[in-house]
Amino acid sequence: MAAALEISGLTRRFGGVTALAGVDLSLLPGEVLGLIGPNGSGKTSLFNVLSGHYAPDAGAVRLDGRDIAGWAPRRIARAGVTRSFQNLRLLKRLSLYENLRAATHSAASGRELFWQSRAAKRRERSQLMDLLALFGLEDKADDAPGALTLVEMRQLEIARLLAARPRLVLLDEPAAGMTPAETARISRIIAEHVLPGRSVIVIEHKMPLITALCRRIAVLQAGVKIADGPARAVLDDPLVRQSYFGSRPC
Amino acid sequence: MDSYTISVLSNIGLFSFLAISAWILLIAGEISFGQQAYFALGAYGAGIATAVWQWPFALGLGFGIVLGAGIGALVAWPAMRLTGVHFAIATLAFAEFLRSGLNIFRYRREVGGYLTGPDGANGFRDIRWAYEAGVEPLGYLILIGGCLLSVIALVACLARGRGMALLRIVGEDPILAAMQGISVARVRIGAAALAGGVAGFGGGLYAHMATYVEPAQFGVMPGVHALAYGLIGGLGTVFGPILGVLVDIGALESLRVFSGYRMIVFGGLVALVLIVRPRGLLDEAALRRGLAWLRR
Repeated sequence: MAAALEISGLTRRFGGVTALAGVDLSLLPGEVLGLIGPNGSGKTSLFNVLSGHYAPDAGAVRLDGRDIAGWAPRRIARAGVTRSFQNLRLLKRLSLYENLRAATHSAASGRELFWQSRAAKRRERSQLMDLLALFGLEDKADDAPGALTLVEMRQLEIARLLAARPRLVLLDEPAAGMTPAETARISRIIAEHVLPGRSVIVIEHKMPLITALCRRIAVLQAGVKIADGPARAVLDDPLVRQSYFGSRPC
Repeated sequence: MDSYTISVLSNIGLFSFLAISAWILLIAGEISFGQQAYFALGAYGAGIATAVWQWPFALGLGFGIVLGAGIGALVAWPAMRLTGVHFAIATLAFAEFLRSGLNIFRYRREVGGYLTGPDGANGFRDIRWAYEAGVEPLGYLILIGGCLLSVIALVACLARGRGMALLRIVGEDPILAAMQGISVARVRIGAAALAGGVAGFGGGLYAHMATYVEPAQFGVMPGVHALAYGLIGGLGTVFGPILGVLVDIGALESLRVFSGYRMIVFGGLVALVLIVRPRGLLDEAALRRGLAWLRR
């Protein structure tokens, strides 16, 4: 099967710091990859390059065969790549409904800038309300996200992600700041709603979430991929354990 | 209606164009101290079109709108790379550049045996369409009101479609907007064109009411006020900036109690509102509640 995402030799430097040093990574259609590594190892930098926020200094990113490296974020989003953010990026001044709707604008025609027919509006509303209902947020559709709990905010972000109908999803620490019970909940939600039919990369430090969602894990350390393979094997790899936890004191 | 009331209401109407213009950019996340430049462009453009070129009034107004929108988009193209204070300074710089330019802009042609047209710092006299067409002040006030309604209707259309939502998303988080596939550059240039066009519309109407315009009228103060109107009235709906104009021109400038203290009271009011309600009286939360109530 041809890879959905094929990253080769991806390099990104910030002054003297090399955040990504020739990373190779590939993802099959529908595959879920856990991306782990210590803080500062380049995980989020990789997402930032994949989503177009940073241009790479070298290397290629092939999405369904097209090299998207260096494309503008807007173009990459339109090609079907959607990401979540480590520290939640919600539109605090807009309603939950408008937060979801934000993901649908780019696919709409220019004519809809000035006018949406009643039927089109109703169709859009019912689709987005169904999506909110999936997460039990439909009653809060007209509220601002400020009133939500952390888990609900993550759910809203996931709902927005789904509203964009992505092919490749990049989840950046979806369980950041959550209790174990909340982590288990968000993990179930991701398994149920995000994974089916999509290629997904998940960054997370919480191993229960990674092991619950991903059969394959890749490990970054100082911008270099040091392991990539079946979850169990990677987590038991002494090199990985050392990079994550440090060596055992003698 | 006595002539004083008519003139106050006309001023409220005309300033509303300028206020809505600055408000559109506020929604898109940009602070402009320079919308008076597009008001001036509309005034001079529409004035030249009717007085010098002898175009029909409606066409002249249209020319003022196109000029405001076109130059607005042109200025936004480089300026949108700036944000916050830097963008604000750029708008101010352009407005002052334009005002200085108008001070040396001479374009006088003979029309019906008289020289007419802009004469640098001496201003631009005899924009006489309303006088020649026999439009009374009350009639002209109704015309201003009608034109203002058309702008409100345009904003309502944008709010019904996706336009307003795009402005708000780009205004709140341009990085997120881009990652949702939205072209931030296009939205910003579109907002600047829209804002320039609305200001140009008001400028054209102003020139034909006043019959005389001069560069000194388009200094920094009207631009600062226009911005403050949206901030006082609120960023939630298009009625916010109009409310701001009503408070300032309708009450502070027109009521005798405030005579001599207008700027002091106005400044205090701006500070107070920004502390108590940072997004203005009719803010986005008020809009959300209103929409939820309508849907009930």
